[in-house]
Amino acid sequence: MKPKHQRLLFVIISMVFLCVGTVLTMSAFRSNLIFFYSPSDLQKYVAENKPSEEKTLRIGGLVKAGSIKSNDDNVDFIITDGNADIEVAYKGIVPNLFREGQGCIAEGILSADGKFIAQRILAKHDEKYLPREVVDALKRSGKWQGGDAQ
Amino acid sequence: MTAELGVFFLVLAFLVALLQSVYLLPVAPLRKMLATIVPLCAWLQSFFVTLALATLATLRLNSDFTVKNVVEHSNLSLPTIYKFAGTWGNHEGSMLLWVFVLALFGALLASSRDKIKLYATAIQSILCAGFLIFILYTSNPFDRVFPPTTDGQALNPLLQDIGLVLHPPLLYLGYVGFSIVFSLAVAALIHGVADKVWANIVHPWIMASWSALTLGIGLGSWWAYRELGWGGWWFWDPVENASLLPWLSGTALLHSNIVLKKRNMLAQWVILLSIITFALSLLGTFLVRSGAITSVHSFASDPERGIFILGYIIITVGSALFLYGLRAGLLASKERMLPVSREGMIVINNLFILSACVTVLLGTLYPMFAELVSNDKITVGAPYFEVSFIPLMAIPLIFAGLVPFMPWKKASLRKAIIAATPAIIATLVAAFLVLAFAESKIISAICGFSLAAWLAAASVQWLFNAHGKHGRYSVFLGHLGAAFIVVGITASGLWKEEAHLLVKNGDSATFAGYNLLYENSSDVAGDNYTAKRAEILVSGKDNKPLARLFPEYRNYPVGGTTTSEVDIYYSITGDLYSVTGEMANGGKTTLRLYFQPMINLIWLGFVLMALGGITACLSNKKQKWEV
Repeated sequence: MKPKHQRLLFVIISMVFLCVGTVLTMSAFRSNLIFFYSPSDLQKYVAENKPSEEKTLRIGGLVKAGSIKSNDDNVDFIITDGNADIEVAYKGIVPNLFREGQGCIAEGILSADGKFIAQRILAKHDEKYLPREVVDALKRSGKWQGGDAQ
Repeated sequence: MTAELGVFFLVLAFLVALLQSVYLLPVAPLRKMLATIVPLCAWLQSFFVTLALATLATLRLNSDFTVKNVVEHSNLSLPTIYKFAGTWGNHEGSMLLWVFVLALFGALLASSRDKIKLYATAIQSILCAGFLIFILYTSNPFDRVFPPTTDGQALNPLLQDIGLVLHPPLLYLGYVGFSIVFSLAVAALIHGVADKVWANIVHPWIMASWSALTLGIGLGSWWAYRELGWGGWWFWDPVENASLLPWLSGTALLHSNIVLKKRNMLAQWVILLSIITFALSLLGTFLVRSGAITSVHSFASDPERGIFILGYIIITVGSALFLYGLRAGLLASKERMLPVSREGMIVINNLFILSACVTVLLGTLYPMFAELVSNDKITVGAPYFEVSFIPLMAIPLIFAGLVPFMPWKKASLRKAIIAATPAIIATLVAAFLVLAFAESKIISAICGFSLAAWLAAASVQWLFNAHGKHGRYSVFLGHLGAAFIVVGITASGLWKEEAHLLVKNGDSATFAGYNLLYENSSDVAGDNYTAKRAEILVSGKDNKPLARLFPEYRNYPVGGTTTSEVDIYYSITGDLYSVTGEMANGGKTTLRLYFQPMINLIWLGFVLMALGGITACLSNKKQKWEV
């Protein structure tokens, strides 16, 4: 092969790689975007769209007082932002600081009957720490009692 | 009085830095005059910053609760080592550490008197001055608190670990080390020359920074593995990504700089990569310090700081890129490059590594932009990174095995493959072994293990072939380290086992081929915590006792934090990792178990890679810059 052809081949191969790479990356990207909803947002979202059991979501708020019911490793509880409640079902062991009245983020899917099936409860390390998403959700629902620190 | 002394040192360092930067003004007599002073200034500046850092450490060791930083991040019951290491365990202190490394590297470079180093030292002093203003205006670690308190608040217990003592300094050595590479690149643009000689000057700095960053990332992931209790070591957390980004572009940089060193080509590309790498280091700092993204690392969220760092990035990187646009034309190489040659392959590898870097960047920054634009709160899931990053990095690793068999200038693919026969055989053997012994996920396992075998065998072959050649150990160690990491990731990623149990005293279970007996739980007290400690007897299949595990569930009264202290049984095949939780109702305790096959090879790999970088740094031949 002449150097000219060699270079052409090189350019073509790299273009093909680049295109395939971009397509793969973008499709992986789309299917892995996880949206965050506060309980109020989720109610609005459900009212407008049909919930899809294939889409992973995150919801966050406070664990409603008196709502935790655990049975071996099944835990049912309610996440609230003060205006709206969502029932959550989780199978597994909850993180250390999972308590009633504490902030919590759950990742999972919304089932057809409106119950949230959590696959992951996000761990927190510090009882003073609230995830930023939860603080914002509480501020929007008017239930935020902390300072403006965040 | 001591705290004010700290501020005084910082102001002095700032003034010295300003004096130094005057050298960049294009006034010949001024330059001549300053040429002798610049190295001295660099040393003086580094000296003052060191004093400031020492002042903060002293204040913390003496538990001076009139200082806000000490009150907020230290207390009387804290063990001494963490009182000291906690100096950089908070926003203000870590910024001080950042400037310390900036100034230190400036001083180390300034020891010689050639022109390019003088330029670079002056540029470094501008970088330093910018950060000093940042510290003095937005994050002064020496702020007083009134009224003084008698005891401080807690240091986050997760930070009370040997990992904290070493991880930030190493990471910063890496991050900030690339600042000197940046300064040298800008100096080359000003001077209008970037050739072999320049590549030789910058080579040890790239290697040292890259090695430190490698160790820092490795240590950080090891810390996360042992402290967070999630059984994993890499979570695609934005801050982890932030350290991965400069590492990736730094990896591309160190390889293409070798091309510049050996073949005197790619100068423009090397200069651009030098600028990008430091820009990514700064971006990492911005992401962590601004609180723009939620992360376990973001201990400060202050928009003012974010804006300042953003402005700093725009000014420094922007003007470097502007200068690049103006002057890069001067650096064009007359040498022709053939794609099938060692340098050609290195360029292709560079492109793949940078693509991987871009995919990580996209996944890290997208949530931030989405929130700005549409107010949507989005997280990019770990699967995205796995799907896009792993194949993109696998390809350069395949090439990395082949490249040593290709000569510089012009190579033949056929000859290279013939030369690589032993390595190819090793690859096939690995594939067959996986086929014979693996029980699940065979295809992914074959890909991972063959890749690792190929890379490892090729680097061993390289060591023999390159007998007596300069720099052979660094290639060998670096690539072998990468192979180990591939094995560790493949094995632990594919065959990790996990169990969540509810147990009471006397319960037994089998897990991952081990027999486990939950013997009892007891209450223990440490320096600044109380804990519930579980005792688990681990025995093999034949019921022969192997070890006892003591995972703890700790409660830190100051700050009201609880953590899980994991306990791990290390063996050749893998780690048995145990985490205990709170007492549940009915006297049962939650117990999480993980089995992570060969996971320790990952950290061994990080260490080998860093050793490769260090040997490359040390074996650099001394070359003088001709003015």
